[in-house]
Amino acid sequence: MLDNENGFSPRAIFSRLYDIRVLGILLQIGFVILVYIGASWFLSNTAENISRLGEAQFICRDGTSSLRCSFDFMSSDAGFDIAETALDYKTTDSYWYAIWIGALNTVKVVTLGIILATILGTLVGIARLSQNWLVRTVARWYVDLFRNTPLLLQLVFIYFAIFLNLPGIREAISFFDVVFISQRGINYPWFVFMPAFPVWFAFIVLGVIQAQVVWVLLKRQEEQTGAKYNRMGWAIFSFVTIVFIGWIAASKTVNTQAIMVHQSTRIREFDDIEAFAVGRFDAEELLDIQDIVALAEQPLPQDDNTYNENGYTRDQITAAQMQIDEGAIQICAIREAIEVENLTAQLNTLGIPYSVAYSNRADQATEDYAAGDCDIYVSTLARLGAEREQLENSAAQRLVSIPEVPVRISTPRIEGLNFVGGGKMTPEFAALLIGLVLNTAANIAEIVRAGIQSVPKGQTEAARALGLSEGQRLRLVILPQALRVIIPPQTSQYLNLAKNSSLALAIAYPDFWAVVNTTINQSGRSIQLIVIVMATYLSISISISLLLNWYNRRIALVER
Amino acid sequence: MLENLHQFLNRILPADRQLHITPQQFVDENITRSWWLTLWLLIFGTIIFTYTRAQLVTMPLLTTIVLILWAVTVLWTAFNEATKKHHRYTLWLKENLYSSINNVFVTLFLILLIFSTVRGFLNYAYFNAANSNDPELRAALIAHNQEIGKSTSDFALDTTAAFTTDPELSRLVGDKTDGARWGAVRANVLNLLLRNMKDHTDRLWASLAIIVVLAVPSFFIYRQEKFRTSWLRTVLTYLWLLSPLAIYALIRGIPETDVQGNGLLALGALIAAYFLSQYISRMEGQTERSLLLILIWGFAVIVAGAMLIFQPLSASVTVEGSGILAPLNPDEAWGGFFLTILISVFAIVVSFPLGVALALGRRSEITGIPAWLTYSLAGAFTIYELTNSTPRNVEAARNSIELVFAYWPLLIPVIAYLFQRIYNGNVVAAFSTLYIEIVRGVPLITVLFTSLILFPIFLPPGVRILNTTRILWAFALFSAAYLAENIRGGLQAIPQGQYEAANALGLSTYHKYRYIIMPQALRLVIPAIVGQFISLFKDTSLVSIVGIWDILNVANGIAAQQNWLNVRTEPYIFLALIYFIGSASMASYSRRLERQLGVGTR
Amino acid sequence: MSNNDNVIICRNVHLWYGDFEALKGIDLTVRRGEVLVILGPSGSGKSTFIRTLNRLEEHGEGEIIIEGITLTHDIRNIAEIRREVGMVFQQFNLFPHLTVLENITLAPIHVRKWSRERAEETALRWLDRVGIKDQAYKYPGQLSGGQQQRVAIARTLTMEPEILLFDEPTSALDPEMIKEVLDVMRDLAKEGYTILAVTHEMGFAREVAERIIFMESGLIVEENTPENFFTNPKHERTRLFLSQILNH
Repeated sequence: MLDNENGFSPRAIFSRLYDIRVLGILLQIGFVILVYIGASWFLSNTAENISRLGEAQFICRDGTSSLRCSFDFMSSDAGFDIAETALDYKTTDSYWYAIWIGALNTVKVVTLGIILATILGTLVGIARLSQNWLVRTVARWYVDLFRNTPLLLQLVFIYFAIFLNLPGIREAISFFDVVFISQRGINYPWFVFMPAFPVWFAFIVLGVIQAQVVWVLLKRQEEQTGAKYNRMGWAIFSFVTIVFIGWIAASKTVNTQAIMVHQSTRIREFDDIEAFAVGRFDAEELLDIQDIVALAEQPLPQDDNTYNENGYTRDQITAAQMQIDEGAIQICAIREAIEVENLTAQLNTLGIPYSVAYSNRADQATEDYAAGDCDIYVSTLARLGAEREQLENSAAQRLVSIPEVPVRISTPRIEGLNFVGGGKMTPEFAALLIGLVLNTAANIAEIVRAGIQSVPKGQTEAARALGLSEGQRLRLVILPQALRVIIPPQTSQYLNLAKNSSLALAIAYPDFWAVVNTTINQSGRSIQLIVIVMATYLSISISISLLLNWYNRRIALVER
Repeated sequence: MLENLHQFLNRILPADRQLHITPQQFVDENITRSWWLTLWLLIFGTIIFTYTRAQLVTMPLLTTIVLILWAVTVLWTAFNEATKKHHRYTLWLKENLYSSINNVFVTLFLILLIFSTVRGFLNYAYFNAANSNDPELRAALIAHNQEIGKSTSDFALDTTAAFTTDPELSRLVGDKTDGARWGAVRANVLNLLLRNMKDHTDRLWASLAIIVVLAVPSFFIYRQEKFRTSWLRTVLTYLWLLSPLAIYALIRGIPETDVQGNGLLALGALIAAYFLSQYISRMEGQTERSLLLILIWGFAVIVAGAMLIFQPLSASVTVEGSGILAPLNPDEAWGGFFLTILISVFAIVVSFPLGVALALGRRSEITGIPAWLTYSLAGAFTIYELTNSTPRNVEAARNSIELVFAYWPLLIPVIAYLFQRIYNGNVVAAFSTLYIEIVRGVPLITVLFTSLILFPIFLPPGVRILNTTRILWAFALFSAAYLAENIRGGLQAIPQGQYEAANALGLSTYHKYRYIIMPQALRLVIPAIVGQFISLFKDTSLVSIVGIWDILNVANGIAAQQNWLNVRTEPYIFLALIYFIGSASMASYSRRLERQLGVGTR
Repeated sequence: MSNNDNVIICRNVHLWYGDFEALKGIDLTVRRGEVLVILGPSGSGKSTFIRTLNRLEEHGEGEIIIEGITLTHDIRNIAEIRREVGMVFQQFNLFPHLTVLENITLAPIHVRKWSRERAEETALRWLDRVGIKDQAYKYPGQLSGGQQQRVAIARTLTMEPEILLFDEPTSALDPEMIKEVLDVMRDLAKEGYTILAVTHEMGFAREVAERIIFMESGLIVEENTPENFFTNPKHERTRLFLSQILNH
């Protein structure tokens, strides 16, 4: 019975069934059949359901219905508004574009989140191992608190209980008058990159290369002669020099921004603006204007008959304020134009009072200017040239270019009911970012701590025995070993952050998933949209895990 | 000058407490060691100074006490360090709080920070807390209301506004405007914990009684060596296995329709299979036995599964009779923290066998479908599709993307190649891996939405499954993928020698896994399973987004109640506390377990 | 069961690991009750060879017949052969989560379908034979290496195999424990078990073996009686091996 039999007798075939390979294949085939039965059951139900829905799901633009047209609806108007967009978006844009806007929002929050969570998490992880007992303990409380409560609860807490309970814009909490936190989000100073920036950037790149070259040359010199140089110092010096030269060069060469003024202002070049301002105030020199400004900013005394702490009466102060209101240079500008930042920054430096009237489009600004609402119209040289042609008395208008710099820092300030200038985070974005960062950082802290602790004590001792300095020990011995333990779980934390960003839905931040969800509700095409969602998230996960596998293999090679 | 100070101090100090470090040395080592240290200390010192001054203004007494204590301990520690004669306390202080000048500052800063935070929180949570359930306050509010001619409900809409706008009222009830309104939590505790189940507490008590009755003997029987092979242990295990059914019957009720029949049939199939397999396992002939077992269990599982899938056909019963076993509608009745617990327990229990199956599936090395078969099937299919569907699609294509998609059959050989290359034709491994990776790759919230929005489309027309049921299963299926990876980790940790020894002894695959591999692997992954349970416990909060009434959704609902309009902070704090206690205690249990296991096994 | 004299017959056994050929055609016949010791440098394929005999490694080309049963992919044959062939490992491979007694009785109860009483009785008898009956209710982790290896031997013997395979049973042991294991093996050899042992214990080989096989890179280089093997080896490679082993 147990002998191997050949041939095709029934017994031989039956005996073949006991072959482990045959059993395996039979099992596989059985499994495939089971999966097939299950899948076809689901599919037949789906088909039946869809036919009952009248195939509206797959309607083509020509009115027929076909599976091919599953995604046709995606090209029609989205029709809903998105509160926060990185690119221009109108309700008449397609669903595809709306989802793309959502995806960009996700990318924004995830990228920033990963960077900030890594920094915070690493700091807390190191703090968990601090010599100071209090630092250790506080770090542990933080980690425990955020790891033991649900992320969603943290998000809704930050959004509903903190952000929405903050004061309004006028009473915004300010930090040194540059960062403002209010119900409407966080406003903070931010760079404005001027057209001269690319030139300067080229110089920065040059500076980096130069610093490298200096470093290498000095090192070679050191090796050959044995002399000691301050390599770092020289490298930094050469870098700074080139960057400085680049700044000046970029400022001098690039000339794209200008103001348009009437001849009567007698402004021929930008510096004449000083004389113009002095003229408007009937003052002798610029210092007089600054005196008026200083007076206008004095605190008002209690009532008309008393003096304030510096000895000024109410009348004096209000008079100065009125003088400023009248004398301030009126500027016409297009909303969010970077030229305004450049102009106002220079007026601020000179101490010249001004007020800006923003228009949404160029032609509106031109109209305002033509109507005589303002003294100065600021925009790009090219646009002003074109707009001048639209004016009746174009010959009387003069274009004066503004000195430019590559980068200006714009700080937020309250104008009317809104903040102007600087960077801005909506409360939704800020709450999501803060929640994700705090939560992920707590997890990363644990990973970093475990990573550092995983390096055996013997390694530290060996490094000390070799006479390495503390910095070298950390950089050459501890970190490379700790990183090997840290990076794989760290990557999965990044992945988690990306997936968790889908909780944005709960606090109305229009991320990818939230926009998709709106689209599902509006179009009723759940199958197609879920397919899009799954495909997107899966491709992100798969690419990250491929990257991780590649990294692990590389590390494994190093290990040998 | 410093030198003089040193000599002077040493002159007045007793001989056994001479300073072993000169002030000059101290400054060299701790302040001017490098220029950036000096700079840092200057900057940091300034910050601390400013902060301390601000604190002195807001809480003078406390800050003064802290400052004095700090100064005294710092001086004491420094003196002991300089004389190299440490007290027990100063040694601790030196090592843990004052190890460097930087740390001396940090310590002061953190103490002040902690004090002001605690003070702020206590003011909010206790001293300034308002409590509108307080009858005195309530009466005052209503009186005030009538005075200014508003209706009571109007007024209750915004109690805070009333406090701030009416100084008279504020004085009357005490100035409690910026404090917590715990009344919101107090009035809703039962809602938060049970929601509508609060009307059915008898069922909950009964369920709890079942658990307690089983748990108390378990405490002795599973712990003690002498019960290891006792029948008591077997009986108890079976009772535990049956307890979910009993609890389910209690919290769901038993409907009087044919649902019962279906459930009983499913149960009957499983029980019959169990007894049959008990009988079979006593038979001679190992291989025939295994084959029979696979057949019987496969059949039983399919029957039971079919029964359970079709069970919801008539399960939309909402009739609520009286009595402890009258049917309830989970969508309405279940909620609050009770639902949170229910989801996490259900998910972990159901995902466990699924996870084991997926882990074994992913690791399986059974002979795959041979390459020739795969390739010939794939080839035939490709050619069939290329000749049949592609020309039609190419013709109908409206743009280049559709044109490219028309050639999709070309992907089939690629997939077949990858399938052979990576999985050697092993469908089971490929399927398990695919399932695990897909589920782990997408966010839970999308899975939940899918189960609610998309799932009905896969069911036969007319069949409706309760939302709660779908969410429960979505969690279980989601969790299974993660659990499978944990279990796979445990399986990988079992040395190859264990498999070889089991094989050499002639144990069958079933016995090998049942008695040798699984017991060891599962013991290794207990901490990971607890961790998985913790994250499930926290993740249940996501169901609030899809409109299931878990504790978070109930808490959100409080903000819409007339008496507590926009009150969110306090319920959220209460929730955070509940989640924190639950999850932190489980985490510490898991850590203890990990330590024990680390010591226990070789 | 066929009861002829040759319990193990190997004909031209090959084994590949990917592109690497670990066994290059082994021909070997073992009579019932014979004690065979396999020697060879590490990496010569000796462990691999005895592991093919109970299908811990799957051989490629060639034929293996044990107790008249051909070793094929037929799972009935594999199960049958594993019941007849017991194996003792270098690393003992005891089950750490089971007591010594459970370690031993597990296979008889589930494979041989003995009653628990019978299994325990037999197990205790064998534990007594190897001299550690008092350790029956301890866990493997609580025993010394020598004791663990003797438990492993008892576990194998309780299954009542016809053939015993020893895969370097003393290599993982401290020197003072080697003797207690070798003593047990010596007794077993006297009792008429068919034994194939891979070992580095030359004393044991010389004293107990009836035949010695020397393997080198996947091939049997020399087959000889112990006396001739140690005093008058036929092959140059054997001589080199012996000089390296004995002169240090």
